[in-house]
Amino acid sequence: MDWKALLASADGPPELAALRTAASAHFLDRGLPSTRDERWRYTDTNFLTQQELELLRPVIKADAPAGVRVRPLEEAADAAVPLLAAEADMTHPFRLLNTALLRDGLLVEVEDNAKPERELLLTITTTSGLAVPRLLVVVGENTQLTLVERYRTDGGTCLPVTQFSVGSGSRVEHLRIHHGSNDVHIGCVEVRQQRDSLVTNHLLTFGGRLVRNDLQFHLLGSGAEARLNGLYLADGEQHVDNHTTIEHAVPHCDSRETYRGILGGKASAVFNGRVHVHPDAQRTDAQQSNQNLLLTDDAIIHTKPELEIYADDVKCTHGATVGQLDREALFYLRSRGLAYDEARRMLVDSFAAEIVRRITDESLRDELAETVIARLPGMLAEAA
Amino acid sequence: MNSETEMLREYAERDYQFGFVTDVETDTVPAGLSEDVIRFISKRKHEPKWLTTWRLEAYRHWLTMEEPHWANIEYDPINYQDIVYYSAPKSSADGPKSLDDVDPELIATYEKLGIPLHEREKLAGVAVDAVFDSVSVATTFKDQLAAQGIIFCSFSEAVQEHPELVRKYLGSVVPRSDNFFAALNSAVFTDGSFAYIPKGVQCPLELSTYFRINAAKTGQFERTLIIADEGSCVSYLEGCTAPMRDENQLHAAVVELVALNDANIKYSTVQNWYPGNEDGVGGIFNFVTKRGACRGSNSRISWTQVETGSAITWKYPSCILQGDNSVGEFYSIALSAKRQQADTGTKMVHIGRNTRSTIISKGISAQWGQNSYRGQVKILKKAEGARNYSQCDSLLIGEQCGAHTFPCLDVQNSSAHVEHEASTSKIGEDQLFYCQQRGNSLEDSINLIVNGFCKEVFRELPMEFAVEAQKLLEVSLEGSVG
Repeated sequence: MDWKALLASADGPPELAALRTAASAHFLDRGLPSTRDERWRYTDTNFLTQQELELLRPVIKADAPAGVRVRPLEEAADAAVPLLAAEADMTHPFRLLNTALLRDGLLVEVEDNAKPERELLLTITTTSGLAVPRLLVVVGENTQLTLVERYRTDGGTCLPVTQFSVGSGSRVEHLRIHHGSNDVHIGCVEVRQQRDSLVTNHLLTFGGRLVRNDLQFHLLGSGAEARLNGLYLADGEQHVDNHTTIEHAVPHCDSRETYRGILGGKASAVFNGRVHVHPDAQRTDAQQSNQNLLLTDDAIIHTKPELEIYADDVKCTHGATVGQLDREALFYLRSRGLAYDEARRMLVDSFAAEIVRRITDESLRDELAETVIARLPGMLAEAA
Repeated sequence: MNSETEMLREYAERDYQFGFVTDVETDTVPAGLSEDVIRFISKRKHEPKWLTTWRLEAYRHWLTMEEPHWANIEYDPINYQDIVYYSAPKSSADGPKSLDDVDPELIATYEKLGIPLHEREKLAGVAVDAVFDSVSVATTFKDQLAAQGIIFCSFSEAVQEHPELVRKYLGSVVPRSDNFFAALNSAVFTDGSFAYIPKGVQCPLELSTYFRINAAKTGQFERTLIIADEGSCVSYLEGCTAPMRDENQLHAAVVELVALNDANIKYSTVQNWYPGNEDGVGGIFNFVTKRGACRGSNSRISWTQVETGSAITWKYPSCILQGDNSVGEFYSIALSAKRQQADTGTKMVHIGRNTRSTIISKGISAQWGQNSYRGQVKILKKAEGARNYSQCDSLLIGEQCGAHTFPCLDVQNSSAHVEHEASTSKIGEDQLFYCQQRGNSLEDSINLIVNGFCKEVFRELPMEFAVEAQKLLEVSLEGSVG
């Protein structure tokens, strides 16, 4: 891949040109991450250099309720520029790439005190080629939003970036669902939370050749609360990598993180969760847990929960486990007359349900529970 | 709060209790490192040719390596040409035959430290191989050990008398090229301890070494090698205090443990080197590579450490669980007060079937101290039924300190059970209130809580060590609370 040519060919709203050029220069300077970089140690993305990728426009379908304003970036460039410039991350290679090729995306705005009746549904469909959608979500004060971001693909490479700015006292529920099989998906989510806001993020990955999610939560106002739920299912030769960072920058913030993974076949997964408590962030309460179920001996998991704490009046815990299905539990179910396969499916399903049941919306919850169940027989058959 | 602040100030200004320098004539090489210095050390110690070559190869490899900087610690660059690589107490050139021959000044140093060799011989039943700077000056209880076929001597002696054992095992657990500091140590190590426990022997005594860094500007490069042959059992104690000094002193030791079938090694450390003053001036840099290999089936290696000293601690005692059913354990207390920085933890590599490991790490940060736990649990593909349990707790005392946890779990076998738990918190106001309300002073209440926090690790220490460690912790913590 000739990055230089690709970046030079980028076009889009002229208002964004300055940002694109700056990001482009940074990216060319930095290049793709190597596996010597601790944050990319287990996820090698250098194969992207080998292949020729065509920049394609993703199809973004938005179904917005009243009270939520959704505009394509191209039309709302004026409003988007200050937001993009203020929060430009010039270190993450794929965010840089996204900014350098910035054109497609949406600006979502929810006004102060608005009460949208239902959720905002976004479906981003990509085919082969390279897609770099960007979502900017600005949530005002004392309001609420449920955003469902769904990625459907049958190959290709997608490097989406979603940025949230959440005002005081607002509640946001964000679902990011990835249905893939043979694609490369490297996504970033950045959330900035003001005073007394609550953001719940559900990240569900149902496979993909290589899936990497980088989540960054900045708790910038006292009383802010972040909840991160994650579920990843992978089999075959799929690779799933979740990196999360929660920055506790001010006192009195809470964070709860629960990630669960089910791995079959020769799948590999990485979990890296970092909680960073800044020097003045007293009375921080942070909890983090990562649990993994390995169905086969060929599956590999690397998990690294990190705590970095520079304040003393804090309550921080983290835990990580890796294991297989409990034989006793299997025996119990079989003694009650369930077939071996059925018993296994039930146990794996209940392991995943712990994450899925946290979704507030009932129909979404049911739908995703079905997706998990539909996925299991294949994974278990492969493992048997 | 006021009286607490006063107490804090009072103790923070307290001097390092063991800060004194014994005036002993030493015979040293000029500062700097070159092949000539290594040849000098090797010649001085009458080493066989293979060992000289071994050192030189390590040195050449070291030259190609870069100092690692991934740890969560900060320090000024070390000038390796500024360090004196060999110093031996002059009066020992003739080699003391017994305690009576030992330089009285050295004995006085031990007395000040509270290690009366004579008394220890009788009371504690501990054989002490005291290392004063780079040459062993006294070895006790040797005869009693020899009767059972146990070899316990200084490393230099082992090179002379048991070259076959040394040659077979040296560098077999920590290869020369393992890391920057291990390579440096392999090139310039001056002395250390050597122990060999023959087949089926239960070592009747707790083997013990006391380290002391003494001559100014002398980096100490210890080399310890312990081999437990089939069915044997040994407990080894290592403890240290160092005199006060204003220049940072480098300490890069290597410890290698080998446990064959059914062997059991317990390695306990109490480390109380000079941590530097409250501005972070002085203090020891402790860059240590410790690793044990459970080569045989049903073997077991247990590390217990209490780290209260050193300006910087960079230390990861590890276990390679090669043999089936082998067990690795790591119990640690790391205290960093003042400007101390500790980046410590362990690495458990599960290779054999049904291997088990336990990690209990307790970190205490006070004042401006920074404490990191960094660990890795690796379950390889063939490690059927491997089991690991890790628990890392941190206690924070003071607003400026930090506690960090970087555990890394790599699992490649589905039958493995790996669990990691960590928590970080400060001493609860309610706990303090409860203790004080029962008539304990603030200081005593804190000691009570801290001791309770560390109990799981203290329990693993041999009796005399546990008492010493508990005291050390109290002394080190006094005044950091407020």
